[in-house]
Amino acid sequence: MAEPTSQRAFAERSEDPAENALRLASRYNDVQRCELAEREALRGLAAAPENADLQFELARSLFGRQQWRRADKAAERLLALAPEWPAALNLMCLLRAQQGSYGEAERLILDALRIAPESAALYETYGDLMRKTGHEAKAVRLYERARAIDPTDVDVHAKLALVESSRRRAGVAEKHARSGLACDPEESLAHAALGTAMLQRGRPYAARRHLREALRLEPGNESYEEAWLEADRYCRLVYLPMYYWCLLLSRIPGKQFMVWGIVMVLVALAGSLGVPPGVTGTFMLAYIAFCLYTWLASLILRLWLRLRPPNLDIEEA
Amino acid sequence: MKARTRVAKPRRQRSEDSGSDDLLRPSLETEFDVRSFRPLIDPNSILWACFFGGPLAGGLLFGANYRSMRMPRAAALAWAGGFAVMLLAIAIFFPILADGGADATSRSTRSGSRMIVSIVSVALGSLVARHQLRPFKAFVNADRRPRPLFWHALGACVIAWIVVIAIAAAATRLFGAHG
Repeated sequence: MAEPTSQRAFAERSEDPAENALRLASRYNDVQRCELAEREALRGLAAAPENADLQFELARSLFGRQQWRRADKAAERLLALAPEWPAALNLMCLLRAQQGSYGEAERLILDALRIAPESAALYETYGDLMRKTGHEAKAVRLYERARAIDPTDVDVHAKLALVESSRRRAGVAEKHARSGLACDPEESLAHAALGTAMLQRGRPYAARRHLREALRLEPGNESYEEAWLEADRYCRLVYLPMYYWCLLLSRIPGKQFMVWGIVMVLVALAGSLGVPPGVTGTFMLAYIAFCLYTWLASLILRLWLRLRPPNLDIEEA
Repeated sequence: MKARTRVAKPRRQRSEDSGSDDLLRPSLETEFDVRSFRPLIDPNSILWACFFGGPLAGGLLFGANYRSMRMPRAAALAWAGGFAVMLLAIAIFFPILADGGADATSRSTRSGSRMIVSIVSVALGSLVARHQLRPFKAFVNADRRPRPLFWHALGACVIAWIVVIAIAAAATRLFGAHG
């Protein structure tokens, strides 16, 4: 989490213009004012072009502004200035992962971890990389290592919850999210992670409440908004049965195909088991009606949302 | 949900024994780079094509996915595997499918055997889908858009049905209806 900005930190001045620019760029980056951070870093670099810290702040601001090509150039220059600096390797790893060059990203983060093996942030970055590439079990171990190094890091608790949710271990995910919230009840990511865990646990109303809270704490976050909209869809009565059906299917190997197979076997065996044809026919009709509902549920929901659009402003009980 | 990315500034603290940690053993191939991938189809969705189009339709789509991942050997294996399983299914079920009986028992036997082929296709497809899931996840997580399934699946199913009908017709001509 970014440190809270103190006005004094912005006001402090030293004789060295590069040092001033570095302090300001770092502060602006901490509070996600990346344009200002870039301006300060460039000003500092004009005075001290070989300053690796300033180059780092420049690359960091460009990363924050999602100017990938310029960030890449800045990070390459940074690595040329400080090839064994874990922060530079970490930043380059994040850039490579963003571009989809995962093999190189892993090489970079492993190089960084060899230099700074006790850095929680590096384990967290490596965990993010493993999560992105579908190595969830390793991601959990890496996040756990990060948590062991820094137990107060709320992000790690929340990320553990998210990765456990994607592994469909909703109970464990909820535990991690709650311990994250115990560290900091005002942390949006922890609320979002708890919301995601609640969706996995079959509690869409609680999930919507926590995602709403995450959005209140971080209003501009598109990812939270998307998740809230999804939870809100699950809370609509017309879609609620579909939500529970999907939740059930996600726990059955073979999903809907397994259900179809079971239904077909039951219908095939019904005659030899002496089940009256009327019962079999009713069962088949009910099953087909349910299948029709599952195929049309999204359409029904879309129509319903036109009548009752989602409203983020509504305070929930 | 995307978790936030933090650009941290860790300090140097080199340690001698850090290399022995199995957590720090690479899990990805050094050349694993989704920038070279063409858009992929969601491997789990391909199971629909396996169900409706049989093993050949699944094999075609899984093979196309492997090709998009620049894995030509795996693509060739998927195509050949799909074709081989389809041939095997025809060989096993040919006498049942070629039986032109219109009574209820013949009809239910035919639909039962088609269901068995579909279930086996889905089961085999699940194994391949599991193999493709990680690269697909990595692809999607790099903000790449997957390829839509519907038209590709429909195309694969039509090709598979045409091939099955052609082979079954040829077999009927060669071996007769009760071959």
